[in-house]
Amino acid sequence: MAACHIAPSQSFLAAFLPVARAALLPQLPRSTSRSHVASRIASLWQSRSSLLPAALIPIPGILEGLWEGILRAVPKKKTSHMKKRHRFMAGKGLKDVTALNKCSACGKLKRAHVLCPYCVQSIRKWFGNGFKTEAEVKAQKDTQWDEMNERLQKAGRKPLLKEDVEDLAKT
Amino acid sequence: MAGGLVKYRKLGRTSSHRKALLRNLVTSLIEHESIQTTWHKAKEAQRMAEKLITLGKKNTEASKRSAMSKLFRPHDILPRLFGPLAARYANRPGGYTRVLRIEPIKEDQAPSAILELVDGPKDMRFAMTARTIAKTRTNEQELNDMTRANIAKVTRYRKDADGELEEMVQRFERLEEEGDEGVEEVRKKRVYPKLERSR
Repeated sequence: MAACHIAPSQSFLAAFLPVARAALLPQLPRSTSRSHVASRIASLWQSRSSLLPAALIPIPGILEGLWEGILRAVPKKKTSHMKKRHRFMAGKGLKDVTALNKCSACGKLKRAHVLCPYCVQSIRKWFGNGFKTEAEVKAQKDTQWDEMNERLQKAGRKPLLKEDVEDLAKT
Repeated sequence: MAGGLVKYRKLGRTSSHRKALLRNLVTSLIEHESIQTTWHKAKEAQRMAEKLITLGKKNTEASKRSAMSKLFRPHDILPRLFGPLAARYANRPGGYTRVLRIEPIKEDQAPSAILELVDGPKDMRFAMTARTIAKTRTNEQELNDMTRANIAKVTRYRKDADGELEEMVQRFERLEEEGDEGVEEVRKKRVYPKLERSR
């Protein structure tokens, strides 16, 4: 009989399939010792991040060490008033500004190496209006108002009062 | 690299934003002769502004094209750069701009500065020196060493420096006579708009 090396038929293999598989592929792990409950817990454990809150997942003894390892960092006690104040007061307060001197142009106090803010604002204002005093600027504005109201009256319209426009400007 | 120097400030912006910012600052400076901004932006814009004035002094076709590419609104600004500014700084070897520290402009307390073109009509150091001289004259005191040094600085390359300084001193003396002290309250600009409360 030369049929020694012919492969066995399909029906023959199907009858003995589990045993054949176990023999042919020994590396498949079959943890038959695991209980049904434990496998369910393991599957729940894997899906914990997406689905169920922690309180609803039963935690058996095997997984307890793992749970404590994740939740270790927690304050043991409320920090006392003294410790809290020591942390706040450890040289972190605002420092006084001592680099101060007098403005040479107006005599007011100013920070060293920084221009006096009053002088800077005044000079910028005077650059803008051609070094006119407050009184001159006010007089100029009054004449402009009078001229505008004259033009309005000539055109037959009501003159505009300064009080009305100032209220609008403030709101 | 940790603890190394940088060749220029990044100013917390991307390259294109930073380029646009500096061009805007320098365009405004040439237009207005004096601008207020943060100190760090002023120091960066100072570098670019002085290079542009150098291009203005060169006054060649190539330098004109180069300046045109580095400014916004070139048709308004280029004539100023190659005309009055080139003439003003013809004899000055560099140092055409000045950064002066000022108190923070806005309520965010950012360190601020004035960036100005030296010897211009809005020269803040020139005006402060003149005001100081006016004050010392009214109080009949001697001029300080520092004031003398400042006078030397502002009159060194200025055309008709002594005449203009005297004119400005007299303006301040007149304002003092009229009783105009200047601003009484310095208010900082808002950062966020003042909105009505709903409740």
